Amino acid sequence: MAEKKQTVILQTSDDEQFTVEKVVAERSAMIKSMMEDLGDQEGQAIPLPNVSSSVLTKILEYCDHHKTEPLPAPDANDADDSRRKTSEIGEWDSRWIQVDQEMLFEIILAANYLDIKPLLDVGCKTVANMIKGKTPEEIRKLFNITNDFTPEEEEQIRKENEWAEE
Amino acid sequence: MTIESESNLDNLPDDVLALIFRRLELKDLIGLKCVARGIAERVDGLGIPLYLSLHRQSHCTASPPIHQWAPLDIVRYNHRINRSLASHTLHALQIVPEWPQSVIPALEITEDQLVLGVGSKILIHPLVHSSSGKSRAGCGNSSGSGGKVIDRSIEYVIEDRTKKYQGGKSDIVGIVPISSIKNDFIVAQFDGTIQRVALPQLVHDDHNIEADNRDRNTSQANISPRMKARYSSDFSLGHGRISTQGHRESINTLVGTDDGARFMSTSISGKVDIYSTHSPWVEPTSFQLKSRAWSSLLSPTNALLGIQGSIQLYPICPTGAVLEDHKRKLIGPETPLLSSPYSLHLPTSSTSIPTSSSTSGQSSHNPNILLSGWYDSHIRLHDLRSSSPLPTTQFVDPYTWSDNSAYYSTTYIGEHHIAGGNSKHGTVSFFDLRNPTSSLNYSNPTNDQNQGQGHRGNSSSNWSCFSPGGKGSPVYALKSDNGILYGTTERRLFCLTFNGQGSHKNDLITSNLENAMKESYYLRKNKNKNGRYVPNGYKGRGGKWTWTVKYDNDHDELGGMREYKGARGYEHRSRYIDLFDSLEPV
Repeated sequence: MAEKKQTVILQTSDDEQFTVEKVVAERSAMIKSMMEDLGDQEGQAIPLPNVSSSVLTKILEYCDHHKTEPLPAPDANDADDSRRKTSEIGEWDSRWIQVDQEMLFEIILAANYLDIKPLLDVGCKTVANMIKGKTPEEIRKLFNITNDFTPEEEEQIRKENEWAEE
Repeated sequence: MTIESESNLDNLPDDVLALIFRRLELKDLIGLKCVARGIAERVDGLGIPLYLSLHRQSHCTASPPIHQWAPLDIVRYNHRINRSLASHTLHALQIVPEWPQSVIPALEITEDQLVLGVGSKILIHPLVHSSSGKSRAGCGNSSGSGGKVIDRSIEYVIEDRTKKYQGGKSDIVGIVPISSIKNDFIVAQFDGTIQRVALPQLVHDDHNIEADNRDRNTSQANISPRMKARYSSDFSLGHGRISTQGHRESINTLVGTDDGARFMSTSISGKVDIYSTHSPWVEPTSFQLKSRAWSSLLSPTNALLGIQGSIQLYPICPTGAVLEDHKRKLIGPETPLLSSPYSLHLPTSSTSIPTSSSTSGQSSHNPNILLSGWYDSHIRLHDLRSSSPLPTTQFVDPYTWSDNSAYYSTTYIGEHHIAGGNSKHGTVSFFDLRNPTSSLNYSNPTNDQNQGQGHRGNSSSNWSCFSPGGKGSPVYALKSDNGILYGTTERRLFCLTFNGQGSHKNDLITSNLENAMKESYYLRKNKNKNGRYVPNGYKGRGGKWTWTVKYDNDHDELGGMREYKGARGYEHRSRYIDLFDSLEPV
């Protein structure tokens, strides 16, 4: 590209502006296509009304770490099949994603909105791994979900589901 | 506060939640249903249908038809089949009366028929809806069935009836059902005859089995099929099927695409002809192999031929032209070893995940994975997308391997399993695709050196069983659908059920068929004094199983039918034999 690093300005929902290297921002397929649409309009901020500054800071950390990796193909559903199958998450990623739950879901939603497939993958894998092997009570606690079944209902549902235990 | 309630598990958007759900195992997904109402609704509405689309099984012969089932019922039913396959929980039954002479039978399953080529006859066992099937499937968790019931066979003689039976010359080598026209079949006989026949419809197509009884008994009489077309490649350039001796060349295999739109025959000299069954008539596409094909398979995009030492893969254009220049070779064992494939199989289109789907799913039954059974006692998988000629995975039953028993037949079954029919003892081996074996681990299964293979301990999901009534015969054909394995040995059809069929009276065979079996049992019992026939695979080394394992069930003087029921099996362990018995159908 050039001697001078190309940058882009991103504006979050709480009106903060981030000046970001293009290669980092391009991790987001959504931002990438917006940049292409905007062309070379210097100084034009890209609004991200669904992403808060705290979440974007976190996500940019991820994008920066992965900026040298090849971008997934635009329609990579088939290709990333093998990656999806494994529930393993890279070492750096798994440390990076150790955040509180609110942040985790915010990251997932933002990754979905910004269209960062590998990140969305990491987030969903993390949630799936949290669910695996847990009892309903443990899951309620973990995700702070209120049990709105009556004890009788719960017992009946448990019985109905017994077949899947093995 | 509002943010917190906005972003939690149970209110993620569908597309995101789907990404989480698709990674969950069934147990965890179902477990979420107990958590709270909101998430339970998401599981039912999104998770279960998604799970089903990623974990398919073939259910052509389900009763009631599978499209009438609730997604959760199908998931539960599939789960039961998978678990039964892993834990060898099965009902085993031979379908008799057995056939009068030893043959190499052809076997096909359609939605409502088991179609057999036995000698020069076509035998049709109608598959009828079970009268109680609906209620049983509806109440799900009961041990009831979910499949159609096998009825007594109807015979159609393909051979000209004025001719006397001539030692196998006119034996049927293959049958291809034409799925668009019910009761239309392509039939090939060893003598080179290929014809399209229409089998006369039975007048009653009533779902009430009992009402059928009297009619069916009379339908045992031979019925002649109506010949609609005779196929011949005689006009095609080069090698016609008329040999120098002036008679047609013998055909040894006939296979068709799933829908019967095309079929392929191979001759004993290695000539291959691919025909279209659609009008207008076009001349077949023909090519010549170096030697005869032992096995063959036709998919819409490939013609696969198992010849000595390899599988030849010929791509086919949508127009039907064969791209001979683009042929590829797949091999079994690595050179210098050499073996030949005796059976080729791909998942049926109803099992395989549609390729248009964004993911090929977690199901092991991928339309690109070729299953093959080999002379060297191995079952192998090749990935057709890969450029390597080598198999991706291979499977061995240590005991049939040590016995030099070839695989004559193979099929996919359930979601993760494959089955192979052996050339000796009438055994069928079951392997979990996620649990491959390598021949090295079994270099000497009876030797202590394998003691160290500790991790094999959990590989007991691989097992084999003696097919009921198989008594040393080869297992010539295997087909599977709806959690049932249908197979043929040289004298009979048998079935092994993993979907629970057989646990209720007449949920596997109709009372009509049951009566026919009882009659034949008493007839045979009286004749039995003049000796029993010796099955083909019984000769040679194979005979030792008779003293190792008493697999031929005792004749039960009182029970009558007991002889036909049940099968003995063994787990694939490296140092000892762990026997088990199947359940006996009611």
